[in-house]
Amino acid sequence: MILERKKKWFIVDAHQHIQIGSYLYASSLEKPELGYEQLISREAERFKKWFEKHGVSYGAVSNISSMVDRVWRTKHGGNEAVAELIKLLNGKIVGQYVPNVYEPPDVVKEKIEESVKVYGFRGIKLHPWISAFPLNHSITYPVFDVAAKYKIPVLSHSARSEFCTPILFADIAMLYPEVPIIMGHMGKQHLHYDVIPAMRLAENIYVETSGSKIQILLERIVKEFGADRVLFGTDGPHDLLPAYVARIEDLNISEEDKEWILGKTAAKLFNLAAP
Amino acid sequence: MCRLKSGEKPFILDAHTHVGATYLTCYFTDKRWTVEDLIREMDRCGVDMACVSGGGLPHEIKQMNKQVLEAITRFSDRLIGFVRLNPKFSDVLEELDYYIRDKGFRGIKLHPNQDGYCLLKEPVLNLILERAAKYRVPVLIHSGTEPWTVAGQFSDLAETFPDVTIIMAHSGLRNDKNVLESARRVENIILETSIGGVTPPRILGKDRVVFGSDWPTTSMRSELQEVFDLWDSGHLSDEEALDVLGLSMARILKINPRRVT
Repeated sequence: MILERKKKWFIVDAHQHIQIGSYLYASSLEKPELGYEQLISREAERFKKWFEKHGVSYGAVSNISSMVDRVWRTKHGGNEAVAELIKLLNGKIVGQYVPNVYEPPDVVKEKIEESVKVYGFRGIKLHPWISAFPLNHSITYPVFDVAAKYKIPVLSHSARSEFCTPILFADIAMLYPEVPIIMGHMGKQHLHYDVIPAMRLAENIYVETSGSKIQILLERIVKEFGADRVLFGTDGPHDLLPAYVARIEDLNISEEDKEWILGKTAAKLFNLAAP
Repeated sequence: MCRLKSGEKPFILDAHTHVGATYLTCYFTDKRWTVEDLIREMDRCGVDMACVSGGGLPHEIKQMNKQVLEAITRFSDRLIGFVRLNPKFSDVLEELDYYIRDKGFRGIKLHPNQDGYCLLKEPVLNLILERAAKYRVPVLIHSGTEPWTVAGQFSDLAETFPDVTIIMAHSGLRNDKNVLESARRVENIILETSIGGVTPPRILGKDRVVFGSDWPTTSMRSELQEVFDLWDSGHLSDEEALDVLGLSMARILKINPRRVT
């Protein structure tokens, strides 16, 4: 049951997560019922069905487990599961590597480089709120150094945490002007007045739409900065994709701008084939 | 538009809409939305009825309420008036009596965050809640914004006024992690879905979750689609979906659920 949806869009979901390993709010005492291989298969099947059901072309995926664990249990702390998904889903997955910023700087750099060169990751995901570091802290510099070297985007959670307010995005974005920095959730419903001023400070700040529902804010951003600074995301995959697309369809902007938000901006940033 | 197996369209009542502007639009734009805009949006989305209050800048409250009175007078079969009250105004109780007792408004809208008071520290609020109990009208209150209006304060207030139905607008705005725990403490807190998302009613009990959009802050169609998406995917049963979409709010307001779209 979809209300008045008439157009088939080219959709890239710029913000997705797999659920293997540690999870927010889950107890570490809970043991998964499935083995690792079975979990990978389950997630691959879940993503595959979701892409088919909703007509989504690509998804940018990271593993929450890598953000939750302060001390990783494997070399890449759960990013290996995303690497498996990249292999299994035939080009539809844009891997987002989650570094452990608490490891020594050289190790952080080495692991990100390996993720790009060996496993085919195309972006980096940071979650300052869950992982507990300010986005502009020097602890993140090794991450942005590698992002600058390989010209890959960095997606970070933003919202009501002192670790990831929009002004911190502006600060790090000005320090690394060659790195596209994507403001996940665009401040949600609490830091909405900070988003536009932050974007004014740095042309390399982009916003991702999941979690924010204020239509006028997104219309203002498109008007001032252009739709090629906005990426569609769900923070899923989940069953609310039609509702999230409807929100973009209902914006008072041009059809071409909607095309950029729903897919073309992400395709450009991640070098993806687009129709 | 979705229909039931019988071919009928479900009854849809949006528990949270505005004319004028909203708290989340009025600092971004001078645009003001008319009642014609609201009715057009309801028709487009298949929304039969809506609870409407004024929205905009804090000093516009009295004008907001007049505008809502005009709106519900013109569209009495579609719109249900909620009076926006600010306890810091000296004539707030007279406003309450005038609109609820004399003009047929069926609810009260409060916005502690925009009007700058705390849900538990504002003495006049107690007088407003006492009259809400006297008139048997629900009170829709903005939620999810610290320090003025968070979930624990809702349940404390609801315990103090067990005869008042308190509707938590936005279900905590996806920010407040204590919404469910607080709502479980009492029976007279209702979760409204706009922005915060749809809690399956089985978690709290029948008639504890109502659909709202907070239009024009959000896309009414998108907020409504979230209910349909959860219904389609089996997260809501038929009964739960129909309750959330409108039947629960109709029972809370004690009105006949009339399909008009």
